[in-house]
Amino acid sequence: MSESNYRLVKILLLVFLTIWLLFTLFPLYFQLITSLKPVAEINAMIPTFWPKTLRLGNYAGIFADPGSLKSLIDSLIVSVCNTLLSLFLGTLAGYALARFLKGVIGENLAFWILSNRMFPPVAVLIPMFFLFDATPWGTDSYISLILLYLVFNLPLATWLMMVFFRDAPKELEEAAYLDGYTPLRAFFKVTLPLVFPGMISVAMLCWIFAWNEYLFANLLTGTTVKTFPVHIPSFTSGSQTLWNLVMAFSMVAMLPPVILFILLRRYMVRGLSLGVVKG
Amino acid sequence: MASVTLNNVNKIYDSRKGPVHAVQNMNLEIKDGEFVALLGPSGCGKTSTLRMIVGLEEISSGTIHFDDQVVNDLTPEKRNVAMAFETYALYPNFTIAENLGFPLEVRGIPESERRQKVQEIARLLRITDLLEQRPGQLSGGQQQRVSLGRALIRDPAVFILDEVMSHLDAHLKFQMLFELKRIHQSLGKTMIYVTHDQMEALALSDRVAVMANSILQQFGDRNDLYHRPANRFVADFIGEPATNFFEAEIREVSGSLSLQVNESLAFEMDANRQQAVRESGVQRAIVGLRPQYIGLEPLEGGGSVQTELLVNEYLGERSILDVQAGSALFRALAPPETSASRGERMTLHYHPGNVMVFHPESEVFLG
Amino acid sequence: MAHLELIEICKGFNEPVLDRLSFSVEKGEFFVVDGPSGIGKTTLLRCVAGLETLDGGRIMLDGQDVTREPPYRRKTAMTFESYALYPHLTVFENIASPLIAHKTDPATIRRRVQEVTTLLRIDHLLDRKPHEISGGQKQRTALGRTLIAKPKVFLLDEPISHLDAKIRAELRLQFHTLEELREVATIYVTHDYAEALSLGDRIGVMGNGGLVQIGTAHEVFLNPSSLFVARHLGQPSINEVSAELVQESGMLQVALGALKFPVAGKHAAVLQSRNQPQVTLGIRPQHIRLGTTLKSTDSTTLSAKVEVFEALGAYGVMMANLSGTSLTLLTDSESHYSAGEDVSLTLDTSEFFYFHPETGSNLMLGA
Repeated sequence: MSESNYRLVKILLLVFLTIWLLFTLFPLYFQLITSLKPVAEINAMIPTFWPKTLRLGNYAGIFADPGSLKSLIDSLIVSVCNTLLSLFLGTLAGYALARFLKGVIGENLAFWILSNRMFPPVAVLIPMFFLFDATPWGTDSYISLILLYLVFNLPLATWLMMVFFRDAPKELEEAAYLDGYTPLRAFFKVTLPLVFPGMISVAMLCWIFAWNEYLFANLLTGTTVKTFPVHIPSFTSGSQTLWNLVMAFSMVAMLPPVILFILLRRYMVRGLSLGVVKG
Repeated sequence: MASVTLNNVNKIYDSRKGPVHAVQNMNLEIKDGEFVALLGPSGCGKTSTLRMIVGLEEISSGTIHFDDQVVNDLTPEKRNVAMAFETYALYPNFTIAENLGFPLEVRGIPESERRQKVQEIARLLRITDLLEQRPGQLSGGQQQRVSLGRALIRDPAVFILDEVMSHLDAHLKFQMLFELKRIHQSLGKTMIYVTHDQMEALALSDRVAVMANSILQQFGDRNDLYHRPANRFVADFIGEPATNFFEAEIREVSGSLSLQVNESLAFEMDANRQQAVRESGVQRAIVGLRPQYIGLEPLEGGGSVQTELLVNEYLGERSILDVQAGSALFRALAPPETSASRGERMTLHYHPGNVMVFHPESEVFLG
Repeated sequence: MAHLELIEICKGFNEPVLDRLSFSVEKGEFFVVDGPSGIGKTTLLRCVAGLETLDGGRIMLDGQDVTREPPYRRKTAMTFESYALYPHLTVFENIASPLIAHKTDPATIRRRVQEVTTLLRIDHLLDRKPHEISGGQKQRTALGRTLIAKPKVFLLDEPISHLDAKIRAELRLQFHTLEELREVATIYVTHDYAEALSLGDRIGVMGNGGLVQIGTAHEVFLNPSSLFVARHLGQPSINEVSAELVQESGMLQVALGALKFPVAGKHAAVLQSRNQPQVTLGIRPQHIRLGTTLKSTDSTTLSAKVEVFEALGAYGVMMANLSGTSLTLLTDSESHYSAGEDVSLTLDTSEFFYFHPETGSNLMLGA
C-alpha cells in the first residue's frame, strides 16, 4: 500500500471512530446532565445540552427514600448469590462435559444445554410465576430470583466453562497425575488456576445479566424483595416522572458494573479470547 | 529472471514499547540466476527483509532494485515475484491441476495454454500422476511440491521460498533438498531461500546471507563462511556439529605465538594468523575450531592436544567424541569404528590453518 | 528378573497401535525406542505411565503387576514432548510438584530442588515462570521434575526434538553423564536415529504394532533384521537396489543390470544356502567411496556419472548414476563435483545387506 493510500485510510478511520464515539457516548452524556438538572429544566420544550442550573442535590434526594438504598442492596444480594451459584455449578458441569462426555452423547448434551439460552425469556414468564408461587417461599423472595436467573446464566456458564476446559491442555492434568496427584487434587492444583481468567469473565457476564434484569423481577417481586430496576418507576410525583431523579439513580446503579469492568478488564479480554497460556 | 539489489534498506516497526528496528542498513547484491539463502535465528530480520523484497511490507528507507528498476512502490504482482510458503496454502476444494493453474486463471490466461503450462510444471516437479487428486489426499512432501509448482507456474523473475522445509521430517527434507537443487539447475531462476537451518542454506545456495540482530553479518559462499567467518556468531551458527569455542591467552615462546586455553590445552597458529594477532595487539582471544578439523588422524605439520574421553557417541555414519582437557569441554569427529571408552586418554590432531581466532571483545574474525 | 517388563501389551484406538508388544528393561538400563513419527511411541510410553488403559497384556514393575494401577499410584515419571510445565507456577514449584504431591516437608523439598537444579544448571531460574525461559531451559525443568521424584522408571518422550542442533548436542551429553538416570530403568523415545544410536544401551526399533528389532546401537545399525530397520536408521537413507544373485565361475555374484561383481566371502555361504535369487540390496552411503583405493579384498570399483552433489557441512552427499541405478554416497565436503562428471566408485561389498524382496527380512539372519 502506498503512503497516500495509507494516510487516507487513517483519516477515514478517525472520522468513522469519532462519529461512532459520539453516537455511543451521547446517551450517557445526556443521562449525566439530566441527572443534574432541576425538574423545571427537564421538561423544557427545547432540551438543553448543558444544565442551566446544576442541582447536585438530586443525588442526595434519591436516597431520601429508604427504598432506594434497599433496592441497591437487594440487587447486590440477588446478583452475587446467583453469580456464585452459576459459576459453581457451571464449572463442575463444564469440566464434566469437556473431559468425560466426549463423543456424540456429550456433544448433543452440550448443545442442548446451550440451546436453553436461545429462547426468548418472555416465553417462560407466566409459567415461572406459577411455578414459584407454588413454592413455600413464594415469588417475592430472594431465592426465587436467584434460582430463576440460573435458567439463563447456568447454560451460559456451563457452555463457556466447557470451552475453557477444552482449551486447557489435558497434558497438564496428566503431568499432575504422574506427579502423584489424584484427579481431584489435580483439578484444584492445575486445571482451576488455568481457567481462572475464564471464570472471571464468566462471572462478569452472569453478574451483569442478574444485575440488570427487569422483566422477571418486576413480575415476581416488588415488596419483600425489590431490585433496583423495579424501584426506578417509583420516582414519580403525581402523574409526572421525575426524570432527573431517575437518571441520577441510574447513574448510581451503573457504577458497580462499570467499576468492576474497569478493574477486571484484563480478565475479560483474556478470558473471552479463549486462549490459555501454553507453558 | 532478475538480479535483486538492496541499498541501505531499513525497516522500522511501531510497537507499544517504541520503534523496533527490524532490519538495519541492509546492503545486498544478488546476481541474476543466483540461489541465495537468507539465514539466521528467529527474530534476526530475515523475514522482514524477505517481505520487503516481495512487497508485503513497506520499506522504511533505502531502495530495492530488480535489475535496473526501483521496485519500492510496486505491489507484489507488479514486481513479478512468486513465493512459496511454509504452510503450503493450497486450496483444499480444488484438484491439484486447478491449484496449479489458479495463478494463471486469475490473470485470464486461456484454458489451453493453462493446461499446457500445468503439464510442464507437473512434469518438472514429478507430480503428473497427482493432478486429479485433492490436497487432502497428498502427503506433506507432495503438497510441498504442489506449493512450489503454483509459485513457479507464473514464471516469475524472482522466486522466494519462505522456510518451506520446516514441516518435513529428516528423510523428506533430504529428498526435497535435491529436488530444489535440480529445479534451480533446470530453470536457472533467481531464488531466495529463507531458513534458520544452516544445513539447508549451505546445501542449496551459491551464497548465503547470514543475519543476526537485524544486521547482515556476512554474505558469502560456503568457503567464505567456513574458513573466513566474519565473526564468532557466523562461525558458531554455521556448521554441524557446532564449532568448539575456547577463551585463550596469547603466549609468546621464542618468537612464536600460541593460544593458551588452560594448563592442559594450547593451540598453535600458522604464520598468517600469528601476524594478524600481533597486529591487532590483543592479549587474549576467542578460539574457534570445528569438530571436523580435529581428530584421531595425525596430520603433516599439524599440532596435537592431549584429552580425556568423556563420551564416545556412536551415530552410525560417524562418531562424536566428547572430550575434556583441563576444564575445557569440546567435540571431535571420528570414524564410526572408533572404539574408545570413557576415561581413556586420547591424542587429537589438528592443523593450525583451521584454527580460527576472534577478537576477545568485538568477536570479529582476526584470522 | 527385569525391572520393567511389558508382556504382550495391546492398545488401539480406531485401529490397533500396539499389537502384542513385549520387551523388558533392566535396572540402570537406558532403553531407546526409535521409530518414525506416528507409529505409536508416545502411546507406548503413556501405557507404561498409566495414562492409557491396556486392551490386553500386562505390565510388571519391580516384580509387581501394575497393569491396573492408576498413574498417580505407579512409581513412574514422564517428561512430555510438550514439556507440560504448569504455566502458573514458577520453575521451583514445577520441579517441586511431585514432592508436594507426596506431602514432603518444605526443608527436604528445598534441598532436593537445589540439588536437581544445580545438576541441570538451571538453579538461577527458580523464580521464573515457564513462559520466561527458553526451550532448552524448559526441557531441563521438565527433566528436573521427572528426576526429583525418584521413580522406578523414567519415561522420556522426545525430550529434545524441538530444540536446535546445538542445544540437542549439549543435552545429549548431559543425558550421557547424568548418574541419576543410570540408577533406574529409562525408556527414551525419539524419531531421531542418531540420538537413539548415541544414547541407548539397547535400542528398540518400532514398526507397525511393535518392536521389529531390539539390540545395541552397533547391532541395529550394522546388522538390521529387516529393510525397514535399515531404512529408518541412517542419513542419507540406505540405497535400496533390486538385484539378482547368480552363479558364475563357481562364485556367487551380484547381477545389477549389466554389472556383475562377486559377493563378499562372509556372505556367500549363507546366501547360497538361502536359495533366493532375487534380492533387495541394501548399501549404506558410507560404504560407497569415491576413488579407487580398495578398502579390503571385498571391494569392487565401478565407474559412474555424477547426478547431483551437495556439500552439507562436515561431509558431502552425491547422487551418482551407476549403469542406470542411482546411488547416494557420502564424500568429503571440500571438493566440488559437477553434474555429468565421471567418477569411480568403490563399493565395500563386505558391508552389503541382502533383503528378501517381499518380506524385507535380512537374508543373512535366521531362516
